[in-house]
Amino acid sequence: MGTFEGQLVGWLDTDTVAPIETDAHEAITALVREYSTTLYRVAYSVTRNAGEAEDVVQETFLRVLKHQHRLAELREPRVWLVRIAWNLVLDRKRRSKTRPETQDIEELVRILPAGEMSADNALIEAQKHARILSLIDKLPAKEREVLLLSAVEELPTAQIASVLKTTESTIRSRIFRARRALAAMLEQEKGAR
Amino acid sequence: MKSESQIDKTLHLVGNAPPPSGLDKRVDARLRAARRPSFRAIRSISIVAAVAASIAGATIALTPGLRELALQDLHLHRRAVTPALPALARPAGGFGAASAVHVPVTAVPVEPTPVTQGRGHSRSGRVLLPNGTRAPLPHGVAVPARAHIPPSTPPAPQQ
Repeated sequence: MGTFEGQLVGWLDTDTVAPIETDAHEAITALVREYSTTLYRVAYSVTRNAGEAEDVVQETFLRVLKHQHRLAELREPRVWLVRIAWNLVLDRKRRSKTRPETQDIEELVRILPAGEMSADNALIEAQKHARILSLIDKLPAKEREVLLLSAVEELPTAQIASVLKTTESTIRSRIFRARRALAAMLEQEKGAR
Repeated sequence: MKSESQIDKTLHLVGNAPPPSGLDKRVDARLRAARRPSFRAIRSISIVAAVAASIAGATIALTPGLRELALQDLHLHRRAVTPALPALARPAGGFGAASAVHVPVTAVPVEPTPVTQGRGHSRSGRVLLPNGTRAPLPHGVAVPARAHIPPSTPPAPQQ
């Protein structure tokens, strides 16, 4: 948490707390309306828990409120917000490492697109997704993180590169490696059965 | 290729999870609550101040040296703070206080020294018995055989 705070403060170059202004409040409200869904998806891709993802979104905007005096200087609010949320969710993940890495099947069933799928089929489908997600969790951290961020459709490669402070080509190569490794693990798992 | 499509479906599912309804409103409410830090801040400051005061008081009460120092300071402070009483103006007649020496300007008539003149007392001070005689004298006291009773004129005022 301390590292994240340091990064955030360094990035924003903040050293004072500005008085609360109405304009800043309106700007934050507009950011909530525009980006809360994206932030929720970013957080959910890591936590896979609705409550925790919502907590991350709320905490992200509390950080924004804390550093509201720099809002006017922002060039890419989406990148800034996603970076805050991303750091928060990774920090949560690190802190809750004692928790076993199990996929919540009911949670996956809940987010499955509503269609003509029967309850049994929904359960089978959720189990398939859970298997792939558990394999994603076994990927190296850098590749896993890039793969999960690339899953959020609102985030183009350039913005993922900005969030992770790297180049677009690095992001592309990591995604490629991650997908290849994941496919290999899946094939290996099928072959083992 | 089937595994690739399965991976895509899973990533799509996770990356497009529908947010719970009312997320924006809840975030707004949390932000509104956070913008009102006064109560929490005041409460925190009050608690810290109360704890600090309690610790300071307990330290002073439990440490004899500090206690004496504090009490000494308190006395000094009281002495310094007590305002000096204004000087009382002495009245023209000279009656400044009860203990003052009074020198009357005019002569003050002095009443004669009262003698026991109550009922049952003679002018000589000896008690008259009911039979008309005076009370017997104690032994060794010489009295004239006949009492000299002065005329009943008021005594001249003494100067």
